[in-house]
Amino acid sequence: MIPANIETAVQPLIFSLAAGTPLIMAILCCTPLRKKVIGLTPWATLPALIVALTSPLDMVVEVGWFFMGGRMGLDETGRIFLLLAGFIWLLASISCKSLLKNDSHQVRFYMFFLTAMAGNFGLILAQGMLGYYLFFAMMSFAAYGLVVHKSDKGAITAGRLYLILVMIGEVALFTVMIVLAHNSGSLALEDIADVSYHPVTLTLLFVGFGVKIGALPFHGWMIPAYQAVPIPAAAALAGSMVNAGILGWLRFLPLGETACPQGAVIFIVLGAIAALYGVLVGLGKQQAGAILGASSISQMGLITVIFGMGLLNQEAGLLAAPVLIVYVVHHSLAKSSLFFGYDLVERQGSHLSKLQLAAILLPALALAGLPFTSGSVAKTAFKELALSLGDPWSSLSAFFLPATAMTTTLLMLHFIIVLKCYRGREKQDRGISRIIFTLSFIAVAVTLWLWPAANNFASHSIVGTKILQGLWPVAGGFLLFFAWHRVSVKINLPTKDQKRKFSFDTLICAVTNLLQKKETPKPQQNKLVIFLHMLIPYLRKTEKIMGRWKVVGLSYIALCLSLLFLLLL
Amino acid sequence: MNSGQLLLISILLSSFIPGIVIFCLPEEQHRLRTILNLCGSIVKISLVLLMNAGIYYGHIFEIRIPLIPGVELLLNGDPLSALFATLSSVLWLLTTIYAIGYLEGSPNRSHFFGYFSLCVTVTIGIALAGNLVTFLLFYEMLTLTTYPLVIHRGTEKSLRAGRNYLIYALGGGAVFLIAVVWLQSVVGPVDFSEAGFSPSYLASHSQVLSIIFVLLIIGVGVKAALVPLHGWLPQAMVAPAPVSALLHAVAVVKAGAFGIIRIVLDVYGAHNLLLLGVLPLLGGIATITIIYGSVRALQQDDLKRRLAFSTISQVSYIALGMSMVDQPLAVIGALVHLVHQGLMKITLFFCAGNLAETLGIHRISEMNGVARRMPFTMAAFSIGALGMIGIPPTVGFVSKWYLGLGGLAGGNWWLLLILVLSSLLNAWYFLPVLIRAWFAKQQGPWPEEMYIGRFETRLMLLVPPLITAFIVLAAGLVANAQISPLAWVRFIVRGYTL
Repeated sequence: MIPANIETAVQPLIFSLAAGTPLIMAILCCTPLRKKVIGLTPWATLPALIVALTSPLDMVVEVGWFFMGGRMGLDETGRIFLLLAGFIWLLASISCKSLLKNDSHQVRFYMFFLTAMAGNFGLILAQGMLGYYLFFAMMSFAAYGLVVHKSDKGAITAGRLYLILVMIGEVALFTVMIVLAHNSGSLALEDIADVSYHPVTLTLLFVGFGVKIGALPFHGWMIPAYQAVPIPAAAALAGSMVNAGILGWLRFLPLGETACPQGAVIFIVLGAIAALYGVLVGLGKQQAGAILGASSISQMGLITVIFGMGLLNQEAGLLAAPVLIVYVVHHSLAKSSLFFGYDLVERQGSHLSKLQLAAILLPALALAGLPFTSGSVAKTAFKELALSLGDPWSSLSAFFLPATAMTTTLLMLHFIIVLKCYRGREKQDRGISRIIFTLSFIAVAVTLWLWPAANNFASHSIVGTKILQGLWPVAGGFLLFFAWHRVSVKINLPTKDQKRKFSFDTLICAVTNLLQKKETPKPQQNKLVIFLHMLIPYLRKTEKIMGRWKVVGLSYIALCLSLLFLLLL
Repeated sequence: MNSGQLLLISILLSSFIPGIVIFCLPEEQHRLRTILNLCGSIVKISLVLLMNAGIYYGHIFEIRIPLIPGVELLLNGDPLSALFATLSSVLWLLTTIYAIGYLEGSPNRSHFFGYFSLCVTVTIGIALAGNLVTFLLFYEMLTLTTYPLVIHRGTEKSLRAGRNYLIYALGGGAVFLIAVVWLQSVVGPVDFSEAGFSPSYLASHSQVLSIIFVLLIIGVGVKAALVPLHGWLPQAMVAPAPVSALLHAVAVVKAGAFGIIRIVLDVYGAHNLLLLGVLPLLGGIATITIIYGSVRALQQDDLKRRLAFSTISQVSYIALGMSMVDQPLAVIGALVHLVHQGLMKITLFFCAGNLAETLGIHRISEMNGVARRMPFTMAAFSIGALGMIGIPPTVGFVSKWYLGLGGLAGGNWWLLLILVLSSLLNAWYFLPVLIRAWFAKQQGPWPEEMYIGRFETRLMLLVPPLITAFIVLAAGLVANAQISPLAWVRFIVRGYTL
């Protein structure tokens, strides 16, 4: 039939355009056409969105000559990721356009921005191992240009750390792909599932993609990088680029086909630690971007836990895959919305109005899992998954999930307070940033409720008990926050630096001061107080040391060795 | 004389005749010299491509000239020689264009371009050599034709570097000569087309043959800059940029690496070497060289010196691949790296030359913010550097991929570790340079800004690195296509029974 022929002939072109359009535009930035091209940036997302909406599913096209055999295609997972990426990149590029109008490094920024976008779209469409790796590398290296864009000291340091971790991830992926190609004799993603569950490859995949999602102990780049990147680009980084790591896991370790219980435990444990650790670190930060970065470490930790649960056995894998995707969609939309809200404050040059503050509360509390938000849908899905796994996972998660919800509430309220105290630098196109934020707000508010795939979870989440279950941790988080807030205002702060008012340090001070107030100070308690006070600089120091690349490198090696050791036992 | 022989002769003459004529031209005949140079190289590329087509369709290109009984001069066009000849002739054209731009206004240009042409003639001779004696002849001539290029500047430093180069190269040549004569006395004349001498000699002469193999590798290892025979290379970078480009990417180092390939594949043959068990030695030296070169590169602030040590490291990928000669994938990786390394390294040297010639920048510490002044040069440099690290889709990745696959296929897990370590080291010494150039702020005026014009530098200096950088990307992107270097290398390897 003629139409089928036309389709097979045109489909490779359509797929290529999705990733090719931003790439061609990035190259055009080197030519005198650059002004026009930069103006057209938002349109670069259009082909990807069209592909996501119109292309037939599960159709793989082969382009033999391209880079050792190109395979492209769109499956159900790919479509969701592509839609998500297209939407977030669209908002980010509209927002960037007005932000960088007078930037002297505008052209350089857009070259990296568009290349990263091309990589992000391309890797979603790639159906071959090397294609995925190619676009993944393209995105990772181009994002470096976004991280160091401001060229101040913080950005340079963040960039260095980011680059070192990216290189570590790159070589891990290179190694794992050679091993997979050797063992499976194929470069197609669907052929490697049988061999990718080997302990060695599992470890390398954890490292290779874990760097991207900021999994422990490769989280070091996330906070400084989110702080350094221009805010709309940070929205793309946090909302879309990190997902490449998760998609990588899904592609290389397709859930439900095989299982690897030992490996799963590593994913679950490291993910759970990251979920709590991210919050603790975030409470010590005073810059909105940094707090969101810390929250991403924590949220990605939860996603790692879900993925780990899917690796436990085959049935769990089948159940975990949709949960994972629901959670990713929820997190991406909420996180990017928070960044757009931050962008709004930055640009309107005044404090947030009450209405705006209330609006930002929605994505913030969605992350904590407040009932009737996308977060509650995602958490319900998570709970159902954990329940279906039986003990010990279900009982562990009965403690773990409320704990993360409570701490996330605390972190998000901290974020809101920081944002409330913050005054943007200059008045600049606030109309656009308002529209962008509104759009992202709507997306967070409605997506999971309208999306058929999440229907089940959504309807389960509005049952009475589930509402209560979702509500009390958030309420607990509120109480915790107000207690902390009051205490930290009342007590004499150790430093007069008002910036540190709500930080993690003050939490310890508050506790120590309370201890002092309760009873008359005894020598023993004094010791405790001194000890806790002594802890503060150490905590700060630890975080600093964790950011040093030598430590990162060493912990990388240590982790690899210990993982290998554990897996080989 | 049949048409095939005529073609071989004309390939050699297409650079030999312009070279001789240029020697006789007076210094001020700038235009005529340029025309001769460019015509010669374009004719050479066309003839080489014609030969490639012939080889692909199974024509035989062979010239035999008996010298003394048992020793004959043999020129033979096989797929492997076509690979090296194509690389040399294409890069020669680009280097010539570059050199014309680079040496504008400097003295002794007739002299320079004369030797330049002779050097390429000899390189093509090495590519076409059909037996060890012919190879040896051209190999020694290469030393003599490149020496005047190294000392071209005539400064004391360059004279010292030249002397050093001569000592190393002639010493290596002497060892090579002894080895060739010895081998001939043991197994008789070996044509490359036989892909290895008869295994029957192994039983009686295995020890002697092992020693000869080591001597042969030492002989070519001097030019291939295997540690510890690499000392001349970092010093030789005092030569003008086009000469460095030629030494590192086209002629000298490549001739050494090509020699290793010939010795392993065509003189001894995969089967014999496996029985002799000397390959781990080659692999070990290559591994040491890869790591040592990278570590030394890290310590250099002089850009060209860093590139020189990087060459030492990268060329040993070829030796490493050849040490696993029983694995077709590893051999593919090694052979294709011959081309890929040439493309990447010549790009880097062109760019380093541009920085030196345009802004007087020689040191990495002076490169802060240079990409804002010379964006195209630095874009090309970045592509070359990312290729060296092995980032897809550059050609560097393709080489590493095949070497890694070949290593695993032979059960050599350590090879993956070496590749990973080498990548990390390459990233360590190249990425900071890129970051400096693109993201650091310029500190004060450039050391010596010599050119201010419409483009960032003279067009003849800018175009060659852009072309090679484009090939570095394109040849990687279309690696699977029929026209890529990889496709030709697969064609070569199909001809061997490994």
